Amino acid sequence: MQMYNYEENILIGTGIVRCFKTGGEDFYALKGVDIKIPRGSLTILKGRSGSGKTTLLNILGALDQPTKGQVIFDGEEIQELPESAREAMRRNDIGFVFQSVALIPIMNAYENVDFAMRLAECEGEYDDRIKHVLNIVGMGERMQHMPGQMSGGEQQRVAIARAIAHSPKIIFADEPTGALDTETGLKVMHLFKKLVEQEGITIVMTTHDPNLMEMGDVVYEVEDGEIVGRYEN
Amino acid sequence: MFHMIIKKIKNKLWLTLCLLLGMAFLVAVFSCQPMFKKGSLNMLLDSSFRERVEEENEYPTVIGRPGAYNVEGLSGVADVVAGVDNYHKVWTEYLTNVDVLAKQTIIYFDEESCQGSYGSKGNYLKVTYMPDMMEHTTLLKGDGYNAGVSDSQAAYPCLISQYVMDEYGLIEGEILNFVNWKDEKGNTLKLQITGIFKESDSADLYWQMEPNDFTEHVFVDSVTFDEIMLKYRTDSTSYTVNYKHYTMLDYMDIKSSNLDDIEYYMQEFIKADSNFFYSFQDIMDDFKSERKTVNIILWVLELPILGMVLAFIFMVSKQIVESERNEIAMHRSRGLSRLQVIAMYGLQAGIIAILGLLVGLPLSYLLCKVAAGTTDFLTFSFENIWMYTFAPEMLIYGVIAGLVGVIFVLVPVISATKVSIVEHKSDTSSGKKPAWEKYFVDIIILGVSIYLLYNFNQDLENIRANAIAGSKMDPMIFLDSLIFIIGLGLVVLRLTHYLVKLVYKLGKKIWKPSMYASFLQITRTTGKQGFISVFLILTVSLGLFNANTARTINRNNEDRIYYENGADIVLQEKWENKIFFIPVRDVDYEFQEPDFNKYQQLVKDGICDDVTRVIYDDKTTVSYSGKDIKNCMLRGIITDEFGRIAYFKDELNKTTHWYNHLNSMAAKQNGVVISSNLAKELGISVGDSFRASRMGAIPQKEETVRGTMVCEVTAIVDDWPGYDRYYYDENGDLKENYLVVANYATVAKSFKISPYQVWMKLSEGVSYEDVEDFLENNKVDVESIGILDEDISRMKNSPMIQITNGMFTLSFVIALILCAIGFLIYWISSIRQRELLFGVYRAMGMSLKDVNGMLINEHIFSTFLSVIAGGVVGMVSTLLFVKLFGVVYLPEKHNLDIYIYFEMGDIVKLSVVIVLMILVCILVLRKLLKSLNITQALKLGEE
Repeated sequence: MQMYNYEENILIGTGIVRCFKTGGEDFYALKGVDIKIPRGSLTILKGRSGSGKTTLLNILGALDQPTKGQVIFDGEEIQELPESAREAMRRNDIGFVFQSVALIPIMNAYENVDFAMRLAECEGEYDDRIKHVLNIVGMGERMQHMPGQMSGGEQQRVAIARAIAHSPKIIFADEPTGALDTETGLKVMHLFKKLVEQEGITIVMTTHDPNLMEMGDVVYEVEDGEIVGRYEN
Repeated sequence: MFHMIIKKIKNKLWLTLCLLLGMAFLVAVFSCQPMFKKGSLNMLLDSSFRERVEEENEYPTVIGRPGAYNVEGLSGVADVVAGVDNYHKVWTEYLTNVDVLAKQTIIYFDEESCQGSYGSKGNYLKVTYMPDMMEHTTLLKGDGYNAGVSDSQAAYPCLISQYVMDEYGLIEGEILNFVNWKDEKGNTLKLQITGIFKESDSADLYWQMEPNDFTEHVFVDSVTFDEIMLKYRTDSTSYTVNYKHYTMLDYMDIKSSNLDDIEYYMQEFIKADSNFFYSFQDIMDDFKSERKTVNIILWVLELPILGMVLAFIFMVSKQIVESERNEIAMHRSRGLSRLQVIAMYGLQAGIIAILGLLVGLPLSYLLCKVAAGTTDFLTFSFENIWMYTFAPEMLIYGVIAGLVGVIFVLVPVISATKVSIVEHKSDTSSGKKPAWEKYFVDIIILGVSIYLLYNFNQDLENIRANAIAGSKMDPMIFLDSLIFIIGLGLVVLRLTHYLVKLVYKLGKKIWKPSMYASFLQITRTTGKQGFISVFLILTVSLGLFNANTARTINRNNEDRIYYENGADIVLQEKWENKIFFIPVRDVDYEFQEPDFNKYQQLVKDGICDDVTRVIYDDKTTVSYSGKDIKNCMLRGIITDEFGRIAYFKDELNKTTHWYNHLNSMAAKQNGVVISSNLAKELGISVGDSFRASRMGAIPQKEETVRGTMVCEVTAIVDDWPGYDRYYYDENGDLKENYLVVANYATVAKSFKISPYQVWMKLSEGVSYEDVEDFLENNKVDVESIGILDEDISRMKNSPMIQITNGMFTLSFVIALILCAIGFLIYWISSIRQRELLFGVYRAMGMSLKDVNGMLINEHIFSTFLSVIAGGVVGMVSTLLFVKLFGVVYLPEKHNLDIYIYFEMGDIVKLSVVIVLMILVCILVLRKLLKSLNITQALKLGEE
């Protein structure tokens, strides 16, 4: 079993509340969540659909703002930053993998990765890095293919390559296996494990699939807008 | 199902409204055709009838017959009247919808010799009776039929016209003795002139034959006519009563709709009665040939508008279907057959078509009235629009348009139902090239149109000859311009694609992510974006082309009228020719010059800026080294006045300003400007001298030289104000006119007093009416008058010009509306479809500014380039085709070139609309993007 330096949490959320107005009434998607994401770990947010795990992931990933509470990313309090700084953070320090795959349909595998690197304004020669990350996810052979010509699993692998290409500090993945069959889902999870272990990347992902729990280093159980459990494997 | 369709319509309210707009326009444009056709044809017919009245002073629609009865079988003149009425009754029974405005029957005996009692020369006169004559007559002298006559002479009262009075030297009270006409006792017939008459109202249609046309008639009443008929006999063996009958039909009742029937009846009447005549076969023939042209022009001009509207409907429908592809695929996988899905959309399209029909028909009426009120491109005057009325065929046309619209709505549905949900999912991202680009359809279309254009240009002389001869025009000339615009539009679009790709490739390494993404968006979605680009290019180029064509035709027409008329008003007063006898039994003459000084009053009163005299003579003989050219046009001008008054377009001065010609001519007393064809014919050049001789103006003196002057050529020109180079002789052959322009003083001195025209330049803000008042007050006897403004307004109201302007204006306005709306819905719905993508961009850290920048870049490289391309295509097609159109539209007999006009105003209007539409679009997009919630957008993808 690997040892973690719990003092070195890349992301710390305290008292996170997220309230939505629906039809004049307040709906609390998150009701005061405290969470810590250890650096270099694969953290899983587990919960049924509607439990609030995606809302939490969005807030942690600087896509959404909490109604109350505090998120500190690598020593910086996210909600205090201006929008432009949060955008820069998303471009440079964060990688996203969405459930809906969300590859850019007009770009082939290579260009999708290229695009993320351009956004992050990475230094150096892009070509080698793009080929490298596509090789890591096993898509080196198909980098000229358009998303429409790939299977769901392949698209997800390209999305992961895109998320890691610019060497972000952390990757957020919302139900990355949700649209995949069990076998492909497992492959993606192994890829995540490999990235954490070999590249030292921090990954936070959500899932409702109980079979994947044991693959995470840390598992938070989210239910009804609150964290009801935390396990370490 | 119905409920579901209503829900679908509600969900896509804006797009559905756009579809409705497209349908309404389709119905409107298509169904205004019969109304516009009916109206313009009626106007055409009406203007031909009016032209006959105005130019030839003849009532156009007269039918009638001459005939004769033997006196032996008659009991009185009433029998003749009854006989004629019978004919009239039969004709009018067939012509049920045509009113009879007047009828004139002239009943007369053959001419007989008579002697005037006051010693006038012996004459032959016809004793005549005309029913209802006195109701339309005013007596200039005498008391008419009721006057007391000389009992001692046993004379009957009679009337004569002023002409007969003058011609035969007869006076009131004189007794005419018809020596061959005797009663049983051997007394000769005597008529006493008891009145000189004229028509009460010169506009009275009763007088088909006017009083002065009766050059050898004396009129009696029916009682006298009967007395003569029954009591008197002449020596001639056959003794008849003759008549001529005229029925004046109301030409306003002769419409394009009943013209064919009327023509049929006329021909049947002639078959049945060889004496029957009617006066308007030539008008009907001209009309029928013009009707064909109007039909073709209307269709040809309407075709591009219909094409644009159909493309718009197709585009909107495609947008709706694109956004409902998932739904369609779902229906299919749930077991609905293709036909069922198509039927569902068909029903939806049907509902929209019915609504479109309801909106479209009134709109059609409105559009037709607007088109009818167009007097110039984008200029309206609603004077003549009452001729345009609802045509029942509009309903049928509307229904057909609705059905065609439904088919166009269904085309994208049919292709969308082909694929199931699985295929659809994997198909969404493909950026296939459109078929036309892949198979080089654009190059082929362009090639064909250029080939056709080349052939037309080779055949230009024939086309011109046909146009002048008035034969129907070849619609391919117009269609070819459309094919050319489409072909060139697509080729330019292909080139812009290459250009965008090139720009992308050149800067691939350095592009910011937003530019990178937008270039890929443009180059990889040519199929989808191609359509809006094609639409933009076509609407902009067609709009521009139509505007330019209309402007060119109108302005060239105006130019020609300016040129032909020469000045604002060219007036020719009647000059009396005083004839006197000279010894040796010969005659001579001298022109009586009317007072010219009165015209100076026009200048003093501020009606005219200037007036001048222009001596004109078209029978001058020019001689040079033994060669004579007869019938040349001689003009004597006062150069400085002429220069100030005459219109002459600067572009016509090929080498130097025409004022220089005037100056060089004025510098020499005998200096003349001659036309280039005369110079060529005689082989003379500037500096040479020739002789010009004026011939006698009366028939007896045509060969007599009245005066001669020696002329020195100071300039040779192709064009001159008022100079028509070509004319058609009576055989229809093209002939040339030769022109000599000399100094007024020299001509006046050499040729004695010669008739001149008065050329006037109207002051600012003054119209012809003021001059008309002046002419009336001064009792000017006008022989002919050319009024520039009236000619221009007549040209603008001529049906062909009016149809063209109407259609081009409609086309331009509809193009603008569709272009703006089409553009907006394309962008807004494409943004809606790309919401997930924007969510991804934003999630990946792209700032709002960058996303905006990306869209602006897309606008520049797809919209802006398309608009520019449209402009280029519009201009190129103007340059290539408008001259060809001009030959068809401006079949004029002079040698003026056609100048291409485009008005900055039109380009500005077009640009303003486009800029506004882009601005609105960008504003809407910004608002949409601003309200875009990243997390919401991302959720879209999870569905």
